[in-house]
Amino acid sequence: MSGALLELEKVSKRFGGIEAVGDVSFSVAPGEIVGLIGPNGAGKTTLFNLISGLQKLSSGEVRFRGERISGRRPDQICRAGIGRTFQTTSLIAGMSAYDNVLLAARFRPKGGDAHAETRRALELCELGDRGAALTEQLTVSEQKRVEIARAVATGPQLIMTDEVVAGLNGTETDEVLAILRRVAAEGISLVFVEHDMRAVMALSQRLIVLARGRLLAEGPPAEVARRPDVISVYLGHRYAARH
Amino acid sequence: MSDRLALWLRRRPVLSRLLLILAFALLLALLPALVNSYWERLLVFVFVNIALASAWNLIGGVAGYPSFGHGVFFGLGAYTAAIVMVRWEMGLLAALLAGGLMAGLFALLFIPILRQRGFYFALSTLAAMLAVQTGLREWRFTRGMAEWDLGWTLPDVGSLHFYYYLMLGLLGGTLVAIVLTIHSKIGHALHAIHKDEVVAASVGIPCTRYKAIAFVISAAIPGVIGAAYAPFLTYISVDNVFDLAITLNMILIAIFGGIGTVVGPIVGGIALTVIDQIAWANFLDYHRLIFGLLIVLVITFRPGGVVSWFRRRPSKAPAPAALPARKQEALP
Repeated sequence: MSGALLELEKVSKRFGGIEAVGDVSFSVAPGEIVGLIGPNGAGKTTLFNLISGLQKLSSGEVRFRGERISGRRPDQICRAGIGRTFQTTSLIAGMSAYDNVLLAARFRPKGGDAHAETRRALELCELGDRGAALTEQLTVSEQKRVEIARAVATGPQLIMTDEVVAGLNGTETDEVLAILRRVAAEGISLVFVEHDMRAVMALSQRLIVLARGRLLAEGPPAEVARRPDVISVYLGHRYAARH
Repeated sequence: MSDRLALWLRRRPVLSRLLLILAFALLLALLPALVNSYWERLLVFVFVNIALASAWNLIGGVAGYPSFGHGVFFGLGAYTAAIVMVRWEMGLLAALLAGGLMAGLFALLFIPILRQRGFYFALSTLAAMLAVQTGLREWRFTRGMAEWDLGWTLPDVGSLHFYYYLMLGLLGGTLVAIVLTIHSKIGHALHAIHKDEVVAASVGIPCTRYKAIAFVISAAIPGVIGAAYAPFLTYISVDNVFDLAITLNMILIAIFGGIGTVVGPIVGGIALTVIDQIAWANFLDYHRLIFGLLIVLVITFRPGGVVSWFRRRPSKAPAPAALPARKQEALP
């Protein structure tokens, strides 16, 4: 065992003749915050779906805490310690924010007081006073925070967030980033997909760049952002000139 | 004082619902002293209809898996009771237990079908019912005691009063079981599975296990009801206890009253039976037309059923979220 929390080894996913993800390998250390970027269609969300078991790998292997998890069901992977959020809102309609988070707390493998865990997760995401609000009554920013709270309530060691600040204004983005830092401070590793480069550079300790389903670059954010190939396929020359 | 009591009850939804069931059961227990045997018999059918629709509602309404062959469990319960009481000469209590057990165990065979959704699941359950019908018709052991029998004549074990209280008791037990299930961890999981199975699985819910639990509960109840219904009818055959109309009634009652709610099948069961009786008595030639038209009207204009007329609307939200809803995907 290498000591890595999450390890991907030559992970590939093909849809018919189209390769969505090809031979991607990387690892995430315990407590690490990793940003995953790439242009639309690069395979970021597909990669999340492969890790969380929502889609089956065509080849390769995913290991979590040294154990192979590829091939397991999504609920088993969640209970193994991987929580996630979705690109578009995934809160259960008709349920309150509290019940959405309680749902995850009730099924976490650690057991314990699910209600206490729900309150703690909501407090962590600054939603202590919004528990009673129905999903439909929450603002976009609140919905995103409930999703993070729900992922926290599963009792994870790793959370994957998929464009969690998309559609938020600057202040709301900063609030969510602060929440994610608090989550990470609890020892939970983060892998986050984001297009907002300000958020990516502010949060990530390491950056992974995907392009056309393949790993293009990996390393410290400042270093990766200066790489000509990354600038060419994703960031653009205007971003490079500014930073 | 009444305000404080109302608040106390509102904070205890399970207890308040159970108290409500108990109050109605006590009220209904007094009715046989006030009504004639026609109404008493009618109420037995109402109790049966409500119990069956409530059981169907757990898997079809709460979990979102509409079974179109649920009558199979009612029929299996009735047939099991007939075999237990006639072939093995055992009592009604043994028949009720055996009926529930048989239906519950048979439901376990449906677990692979629970991986399907919507239309495919509905058709699979319907096909399973047709297969069981054929099996029971052809198997000598289940056709009756004599060589030429095509059904079972059961012993008359009680008066109309007895069956009234038996069905009332079984209905009360059914509603208590449904309320406790819906307000438990199982109900929470089923609600999530209904709304978005992908998300449910992603937060750690073993979806197939919880669907199986709901399916077994929703099958065992019709099994027990069918076992009680068989000696009430005194003669059963595939034609009367596996009738497709039994399944359709379960579905229509739940939808008419309010699918996915505890009170919906109760309202639907009472309303449809009353409408049915009025139509029979006054417009015999147009009975089916009136009945069908009413159902179509309610489903078209009130998809939430009759109870949605009385449900409180949520207060005006500050600014509803503008994010697109996630598309329901199938799990691998």
